[in-house]
Amino acid sequence: MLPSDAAPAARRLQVLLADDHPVVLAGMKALVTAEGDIDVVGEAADGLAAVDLAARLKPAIAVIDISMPGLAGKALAIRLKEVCPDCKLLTLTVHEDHGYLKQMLEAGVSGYLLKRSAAGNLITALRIVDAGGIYIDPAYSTRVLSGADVGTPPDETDQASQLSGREIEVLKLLAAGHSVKATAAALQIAVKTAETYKSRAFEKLGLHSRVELIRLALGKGWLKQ
Amino acid sequence: MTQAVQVDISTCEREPIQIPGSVQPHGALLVIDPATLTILQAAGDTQRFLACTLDVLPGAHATRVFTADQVARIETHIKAPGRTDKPHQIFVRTSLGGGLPACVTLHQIDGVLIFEFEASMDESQADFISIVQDMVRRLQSAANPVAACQTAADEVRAITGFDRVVVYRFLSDGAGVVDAEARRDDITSFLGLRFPAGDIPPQARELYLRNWIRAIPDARYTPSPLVPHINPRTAKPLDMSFCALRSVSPVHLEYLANMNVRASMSLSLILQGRLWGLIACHHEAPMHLPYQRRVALELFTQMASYILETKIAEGELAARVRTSGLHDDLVASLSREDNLVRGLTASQPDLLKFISAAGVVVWMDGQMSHHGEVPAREETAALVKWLNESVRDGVYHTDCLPLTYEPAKAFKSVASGMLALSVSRSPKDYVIWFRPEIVETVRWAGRPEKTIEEDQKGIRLSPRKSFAAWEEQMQMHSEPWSNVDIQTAQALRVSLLEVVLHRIDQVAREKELARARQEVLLEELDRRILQWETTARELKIEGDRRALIEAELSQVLRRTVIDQENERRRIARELHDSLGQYLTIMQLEFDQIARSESADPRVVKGIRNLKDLASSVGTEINRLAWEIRPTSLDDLGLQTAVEQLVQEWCERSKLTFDLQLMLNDRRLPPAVETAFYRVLQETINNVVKHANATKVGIILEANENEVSLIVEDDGKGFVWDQMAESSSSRLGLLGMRERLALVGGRIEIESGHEKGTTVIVHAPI
Repeated sequence: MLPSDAAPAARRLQVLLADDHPVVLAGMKALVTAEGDIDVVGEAADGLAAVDLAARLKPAIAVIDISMPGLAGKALAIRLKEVCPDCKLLTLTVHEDHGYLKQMLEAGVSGYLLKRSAAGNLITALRIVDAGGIYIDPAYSTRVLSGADVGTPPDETDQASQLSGREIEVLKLLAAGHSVKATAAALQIAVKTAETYKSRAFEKLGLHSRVELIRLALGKGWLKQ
Repeated sequence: MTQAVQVDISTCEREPIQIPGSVQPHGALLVIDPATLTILQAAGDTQRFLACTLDVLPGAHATRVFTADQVARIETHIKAPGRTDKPHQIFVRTSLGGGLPACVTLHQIDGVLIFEFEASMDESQADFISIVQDMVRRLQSAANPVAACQTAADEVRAITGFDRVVVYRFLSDGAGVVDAEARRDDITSFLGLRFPAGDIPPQARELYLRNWIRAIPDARYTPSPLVPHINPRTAKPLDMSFCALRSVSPVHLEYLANMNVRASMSLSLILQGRLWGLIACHHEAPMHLPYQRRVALELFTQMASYILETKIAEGELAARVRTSGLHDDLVASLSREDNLVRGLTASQPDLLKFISAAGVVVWMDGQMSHHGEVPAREETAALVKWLNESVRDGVYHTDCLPLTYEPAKAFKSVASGMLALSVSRSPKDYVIWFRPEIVETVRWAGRPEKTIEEDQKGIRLSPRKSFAAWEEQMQMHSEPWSNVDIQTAQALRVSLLEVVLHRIDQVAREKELARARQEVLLEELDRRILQWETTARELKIEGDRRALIEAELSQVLRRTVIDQENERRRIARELHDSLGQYLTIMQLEFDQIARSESADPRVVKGIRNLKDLASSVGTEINRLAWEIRPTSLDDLGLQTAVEQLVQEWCERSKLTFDLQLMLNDRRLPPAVETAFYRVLQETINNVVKHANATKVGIILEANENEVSLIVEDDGKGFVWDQMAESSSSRLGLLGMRERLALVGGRIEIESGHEKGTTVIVHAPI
């Protein structure tokens, strides 16, 4: 703990707090001011007030909730960045979904803190963000984002050229989201026949699933028409 | 010989017997122009009847021979229409200038008047009407035609005194047979004798039809020629058809002489307009019957003809009554029997009782059925062919078939007589009765050939000299068919035709009936169709009603789902916003307490524990809220929510997920997002619980119209039909369907044993 007069030349961290819960707001203010070198320059109970204060007070950090009346979440983050480009943003929320985290990070926040760990980690988060770092709540540290949204590009060999016209037709329809039955009906062939085309084509292309197929189709531009 | 016979017949038939150009000399004849009353021609014994020679008469006026009074009566007569077509007595003259008392008759022919003068006798005053009445009365009482013929012969002989009076009947072949005879005991009998057709040539028969009576008072007369021979008015020979004095053929005179007949008289028997026979009278001495007596006999023979016709008809009637009974039975049996042939052949009474014969054939459709003695099949076939070609009558009969149909000689013993009736037109079907040959001994009145004598005038006809009975074996003849037989056959033919027509009618009726039945069936069909339509309509109404109910239920379900989701959303929010916030406050408060200076280290430790507890409660609340309904679904959209869900399952299970999510931040109608999220939730639940899979692929994509979600796994798959109806997967699937139905979406599942399962979900946006 640093004594309050130990670094008289030290800069004071100016923070704007926005939360629609007055009690939470009060609790956070108490927690932050207890640090001594952090000033709560403004408190807002909704998103619009927060934008207004940020524009006037130019705080170093704005702590914002995702769920607030009026402006909130991603939109609020973007708006704050507009009115006060130098202001760093720290999200303090009850939402643990990755989606929120991802969204807020995309909106330009520097930190994402869950309220349930705020009591212990808010100050740390503020200091890391103030230092130009990015703080993510430790609850996410064990979670590794899978390559789900990255996708493995399909093998772009010329294997596709070995397909018969019928096989390509079947694959295109399957890739477009049709069932084998619907594909068979569209091509006026038996379901069994359509299945045969499908498995033969899958074998030729080394495909194991529709997901792999659709990636191939995307690569080949089959879905554009 | 054949040549000679031909000469004979043709010569005789050609003789113009109605214009002999001469008269018998027992009277006188005058031909007078009705306009001028000039005598045109004269013949006969004018000296005796007119007291002048023949040569002075032609050219003279009628008054030369008639008184003024007589001329006046003649004029009255000729003016009355129809009074002079046949000779009628116009007056009896007692005398004329010394001439004999004469009966004068007058008739007109070819526009000239013909007067005939004959001796009038005292007995002419007798009441001949009452004589005829008596004769007719006796004739009427005869029991049958044969007896009537005998009575007629007897009566005629009684009032005329002829030596021989016979009733001579014509047979079908033209020959005549003597059926009855009244004669002087000492002269030859002709009874039963047959006279050949040539004895009375056709033109003679023709005259017999026109004249009821013809008399030759003395066959040894010398003909008195007409003077002049040709009628100057008509420039033709005089037609003497109706002249009582007409001179007869010299052949006939010779014939009579050969028969030893001096005087003859013939009375016609005309039945139904046909010359049935003659009452022929013969006398060995000359005999002249005065005009009045001849008129009485003419009346008698007319009456006799009528009575005979009646008697024959009576006899036939009895036979007809008998056969008509049989006829009715036969027709009844025919109408009972479907098959005409069977009806004809198998029925009682049989056809042989119906018309007496030895055999009968029923020929129909080329099939032959028979009873009794009939020709062989081929013979019958040929006969039928011949009938078809040469016979037009519906009923054809002959009693000498081999004489008209040469091949029948081969089977004359069974078929010399034939009565054939055709039942149909072409091809003709027949019923044919056969009668066997009867070799009959015919007694001819002399050898039935005329001889040709040659004298200084050249070839000349001569009748036979002898009338002594000459017997002949008549072959290839059968018993003749009676009128009744023929009429019976005709009646049967009519009935058969009726039956045939009836059959045809019946067939037509049956067709009509069938048509009617078909119509009824069609109507029934229409009715049923109408019923079905009604039922279908009712079903549709019911279906619509149910659809409405279902729609209402869907509405309720949708409402329920929406309410449920709203409630879940509310609860989740509450958990986050209230409980979550309060926990945060609690933690902050704990923190503050821990910072206060008065804090006891034990208190600080207790507070730290409380802080940790609050933190884990927060974690739990967050999980609970997420499970109830992830707020990210509303706040961040379907794709983010899906990612979160998959993230969750990655941590919780050993499944590897392969995602191809192409919505990004695109937002869909909230109901669709919710439905898809819940379907995905349920599908992953199923995969985890049942599929035994290692990999799960998820595709989420949308175009401008439709959003689709595909979830595939590499698990064991399933066969829908084999799923227990109550299984949770099945119920879960039904739940998914319901949810999708609410947003107009559909779900398809592709699966098979060990083939994995692919769930494909589409919904419109």
